[in-house]
Amino acid sequence: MADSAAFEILYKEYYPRVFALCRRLLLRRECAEDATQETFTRAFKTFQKYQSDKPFWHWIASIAHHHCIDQLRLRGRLQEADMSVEADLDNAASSEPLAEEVLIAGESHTQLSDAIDQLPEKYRIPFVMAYQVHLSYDEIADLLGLNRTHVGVLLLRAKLQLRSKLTESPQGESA
Amino acid sequence: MKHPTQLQLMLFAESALHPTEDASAAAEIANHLQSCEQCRSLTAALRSETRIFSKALAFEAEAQPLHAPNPDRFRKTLQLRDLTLATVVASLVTGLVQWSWKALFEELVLSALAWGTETWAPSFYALASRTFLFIQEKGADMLNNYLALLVTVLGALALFGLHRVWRRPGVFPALLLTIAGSTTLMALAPPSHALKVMSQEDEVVIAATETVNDTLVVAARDVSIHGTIEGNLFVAAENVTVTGNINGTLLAFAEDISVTGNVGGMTVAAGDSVEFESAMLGGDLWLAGDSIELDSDTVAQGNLVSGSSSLDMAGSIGRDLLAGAERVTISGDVGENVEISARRLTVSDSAQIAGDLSYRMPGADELVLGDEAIIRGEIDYKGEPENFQARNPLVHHDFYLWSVLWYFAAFLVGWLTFTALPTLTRVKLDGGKDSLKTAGIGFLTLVSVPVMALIIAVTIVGFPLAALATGGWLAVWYLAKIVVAYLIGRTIFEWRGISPNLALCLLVGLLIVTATINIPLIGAPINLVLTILGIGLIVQLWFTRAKSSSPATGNL
Repeated sequence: MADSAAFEILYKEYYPRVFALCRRLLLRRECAEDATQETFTRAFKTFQKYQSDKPFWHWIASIAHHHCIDQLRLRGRLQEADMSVEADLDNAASSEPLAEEVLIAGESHTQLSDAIDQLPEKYRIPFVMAYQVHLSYDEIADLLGLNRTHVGVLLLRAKLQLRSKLTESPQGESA
Repeated sequence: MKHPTQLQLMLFAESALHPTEDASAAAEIANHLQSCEQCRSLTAALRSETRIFSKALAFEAEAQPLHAPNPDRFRKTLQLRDLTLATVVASLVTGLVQWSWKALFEELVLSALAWGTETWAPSFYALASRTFLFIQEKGADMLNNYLALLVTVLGALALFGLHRVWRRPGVFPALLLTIAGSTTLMALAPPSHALKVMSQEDEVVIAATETVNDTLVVAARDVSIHGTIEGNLFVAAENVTVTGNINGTLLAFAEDISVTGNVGGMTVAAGDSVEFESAMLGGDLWLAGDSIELDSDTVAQGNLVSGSSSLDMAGSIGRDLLAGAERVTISGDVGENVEISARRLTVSDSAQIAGDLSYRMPGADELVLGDEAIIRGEIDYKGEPENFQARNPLVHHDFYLWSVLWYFAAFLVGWLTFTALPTLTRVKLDGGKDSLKTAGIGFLTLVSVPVMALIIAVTIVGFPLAALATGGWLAVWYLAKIVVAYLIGRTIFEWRGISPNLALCLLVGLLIVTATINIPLIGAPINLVLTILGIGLIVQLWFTRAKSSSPATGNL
C-alpha cells in the first residue's frame, strides 16, 4: 500500500512532464495521451524495480521514450539517419546566427517549440533525448543504434535547421 | 591556423567527447581555444544555445495546464490484490498457529515421547512389535497430522506460486502452482483401501471356525491364526503361530514364528526362530532369522531364499534353494539347483537335488555329503566366500552388462532432465580456484545434507522434510556424473568447432565417464571427484538461478 501511495504522488507530479515528452516525440496529442497512460501503467507494474536513490524522472522518461520509439517504429515513421553529407555541415553552419541570438531578441519559447515540432523525426528524436530527457550522447547512440559521432551530427543538423527556421520567421509575430 | 569544425566544438562544449578515445582531440581543442578568440566565442555561444533548448523544452512541460487523470485504476487494482492476499495470508497464519499447537505439539511431540518411553526395550523383536502396535493405535492420528503438515506446506507453496504468477508471470511459479495445487488435491483425497486391522496388547486369536475376508493386519504380543484369511496376513508380534489357511501372502515379523498351516502366496518371515511343520506353501519363501527349520512334511512349491545362522531343510522345495548361513543341513528334496554359501554344509543321505549343487565354503573338502544322497546335476565348489569380493570385475560379463545398462539409463535420465530443465545446459567449470570452489561446494553438500537430514528427522516433526532433503540429495548425487558428462561432451564438441547437440554431448560425455570410472584402481577416486564436481556445479547453478530470479533493481 505504501508503494501505491508513493506511486500516486509521483504520477500526479510527473504526468505533465511525461506527457510533454511523449507529445514532443509523437507530435499528436491523442497519441501522446495514450503513450503517457501506457508509460505509467508499465511503470506501475514494475514499480518494485525502481531504485529510489535515483531520479524518478530518469526512470519514467526511459520507459516513456522507449515506448514512443517503439510506437514510431511500429508505424514505420522512424527514419534512418543519413550520415553521408557531413562535409556540408560547416558550410551551412557558418551562414546562420545561433539560436541564442535569435531567441534573446525574440524572447519566444513558442517560436522555438514550433520549430522543434517541425524538425524531421530523425533529428527531432535525438534532439528531444538530448535536451529534454538529458540523455548522454552514448545513451542516445545505444537507443537509436548509432555511434556517438553520428548522434552529434544529427544534433548539429537539428540545430542548423532550427537556426534557419528561427531566422526565417518574423520575430515580432510571437513576441 | 586550422579551426576546429562546429561539430567538434559542439561535442567539446557538451562534454560529449570520449574521455579516453577522444582525449587527444579534446586536448587539442582546449589548447586551440586558449589562443583563438573566435572559436572561444563560438563554443560559449553553443553552450548557451544548448541551455536555451533545454529551458525551452522544460518550459513547455511546466506550462502544460495538465492534470493527471484519475489514478483509481492503479489504486483499485493494488488494493484488491493486496486485500485478497492479506485475507488469505491472515487466515492461513491463524489456522497454522492453532494447528501447530494442537497437532504438532500435542499430537506429534507428546505422542512421540510416549512412543519412545513405551517401546524402549532391549529385545529387538519386542521393540518392533510394540512399535507396530503403537502405530496401529495412534499411527492414524500421526499420519493425519503429517498429511495436514504436507497439505499446509503444499498449500503455502501454491499460494506463493499464485502470488508470483499474479505479480510476475513466469514458467517456474506457474509450474510450482500447478504441482502444489494438484498434489494438495491428491493429498486431500480420501483413502480407498480396505484393511481389517486388529491390535491388542496380549493375544489375538483367529479361531478355526473364523474367516477373514480382507487382508488382515495384526499386532499383538501373541498372534494365533487357526482360521482362514482370504487376503494377505501382515503380522508383527513376539510369537506368531499359523495353523490355518492364508490364501494370500504371509508377512510375519516376530521372535518366534511357527507355520503348520497353508500359505497360498509368498511367505516372508523374519524372526529369531522360524519353523515350518507340515506346512503347504504355494509361493516363494524369503526367510531370515537365527534358526530356520523346515520339517520333512513341509512342501514349498517355489524357491527358498534364506539368510540365517542355521538352516535345517528337511522338506521339499519345488525350485531353487539359495541360502547363506553358518550351518546348512539339507535332508529333503530340491526341485532344481542348490546354491549355498556357508561355513558348514551337510547334505544327508535322504537328500535329493534334481539340479546342480554349488557351494562356497572355506575348503572344498569340508562338504559333508551322505553316501546315499542323490544329486542329479554337478557338484561345483566355487571357492571361499571372501574371494568373490576380491575378484576383478572386468573379467565378468555381468560387469559389462551393468555398465551398458547404467550408460543408457544415465543417457535417458540425462536427456529427460536437460530437456525439462534447460538451465542445466548453462553449467560451466572454470579453471583454477573456481574448480576448487565448485569441488568444495560439492563436497560440503555431499557430506552435510545427510547429516542435517538425520538431525531434522530425529525431531520426528521434521521427518517429511528430512525425507524430501534425502530424496533431493540422492537425485543430485545420481545426476552429478551426468552433468559432468554433458560438460565433457560439450567441451569436446566446442573444441572441434561443432555446435553442441544435447544428445551427442551426453552420449560422448557419458561414454568417457563410464569408461573412466571403471578403470581399476583409479576409477573409484575419479568417480568420487566427478560426483563431487557435479554436485558442486548443480548447487552453484541453483544458487545462481535463485539470485538472478530475485526481483531485479536495475534500470529498465
